[in-house]
Amino acid sequence: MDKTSPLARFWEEFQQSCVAVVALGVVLLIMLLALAAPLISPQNPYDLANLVLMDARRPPGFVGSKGFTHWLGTDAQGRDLLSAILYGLRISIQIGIIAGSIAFVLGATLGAFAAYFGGRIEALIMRIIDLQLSFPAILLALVLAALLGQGKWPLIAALVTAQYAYFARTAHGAASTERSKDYVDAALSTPLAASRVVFRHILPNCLPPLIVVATVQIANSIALEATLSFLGLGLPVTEPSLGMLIANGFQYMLSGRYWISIYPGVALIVLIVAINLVGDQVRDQINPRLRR
Amino acid sequence: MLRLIAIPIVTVFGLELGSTLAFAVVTETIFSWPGIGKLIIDSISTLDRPVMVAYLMLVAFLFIVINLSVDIAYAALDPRLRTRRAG
Repeated sequence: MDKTSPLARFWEEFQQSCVAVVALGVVLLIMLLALAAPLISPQNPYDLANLVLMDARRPPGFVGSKGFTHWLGTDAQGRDLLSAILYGLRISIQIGIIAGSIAFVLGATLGAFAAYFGGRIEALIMRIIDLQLSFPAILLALVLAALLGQGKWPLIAALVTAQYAYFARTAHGAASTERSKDYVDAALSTPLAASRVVFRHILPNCLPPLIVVATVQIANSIALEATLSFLGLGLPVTEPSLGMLIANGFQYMLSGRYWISIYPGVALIVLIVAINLVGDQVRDQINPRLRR
Repeated sequence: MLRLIAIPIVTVFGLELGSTLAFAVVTETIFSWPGIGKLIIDSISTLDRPVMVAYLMLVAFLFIVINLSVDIAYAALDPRLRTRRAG
């Protein structure tokens, strides 16, 4: 009989997959680098006084006129790409986490209430969500981003609208099975408000599958944000995310200056793949059918 | 054998066809192909709302057609889904 906490047991099981541990390390490292970007990046890439046009479009390893080495080269304005990527990661991760969290709260609440009330309300909410799931998220986000205009919050609103349906469906599925259990009946027999039963009794038991969806959806919203920024519909130029860096370097791809586009893309791929690997491992651990 | 595993393949095929259609926006922007995706991006950048609405209607219609054909393909592939109609 082990007396370890569920979290400790979870971590012990998580460690059995080397790939997932490495991926988690990569995610944490990237987040740390992004958080510490102003401290560790050699240049503030958005302070125009720091930029030297003479150093524009230099290959990786070039020693610039400010005396430091541009390890990943410079872009068309003479920005150090390493610094630009670190600052870009900061914005991409921020948007991904904010949009993912809002979608999580909104979707989980909606799905759990749909399962709780049942009947017509459930049918109405779930059909709207089915409708949204049959339509690709990127088109919805594209049109919403176009209608709401540029900026951080319109973009987050577009991402949330495109993604809350996944959370709602998962929460509904988990909450429907919880709804028929005895402890919910017991809670219902007491004069508790509906919201209290949903938030304190049903939702906590729906959390494991929701957490899995959350990891995947945060990676998805980072990718979606990069896509929208690449198309010029995402963040304004003053808040350059990774997608915008890729779009900026894109016109130089065929002239041999691959580094302007490729390195931000590599950073994006590494981040997304690492988050997805962690999510896969958590999903396998939660799935009782794969449990040994 | 192929017939037995065809149902999930058809499902994924339908979904992928849909997302290919959606991601045509990105592909056509990158390669400057004058397709429907480039049209929607250009209309968004000039805020040409009638074109945007027409595009969305067209894509929604295509999705209905794709989903319908997937459902019909299920019936063609799995005899159990066909007999239920009679009984």
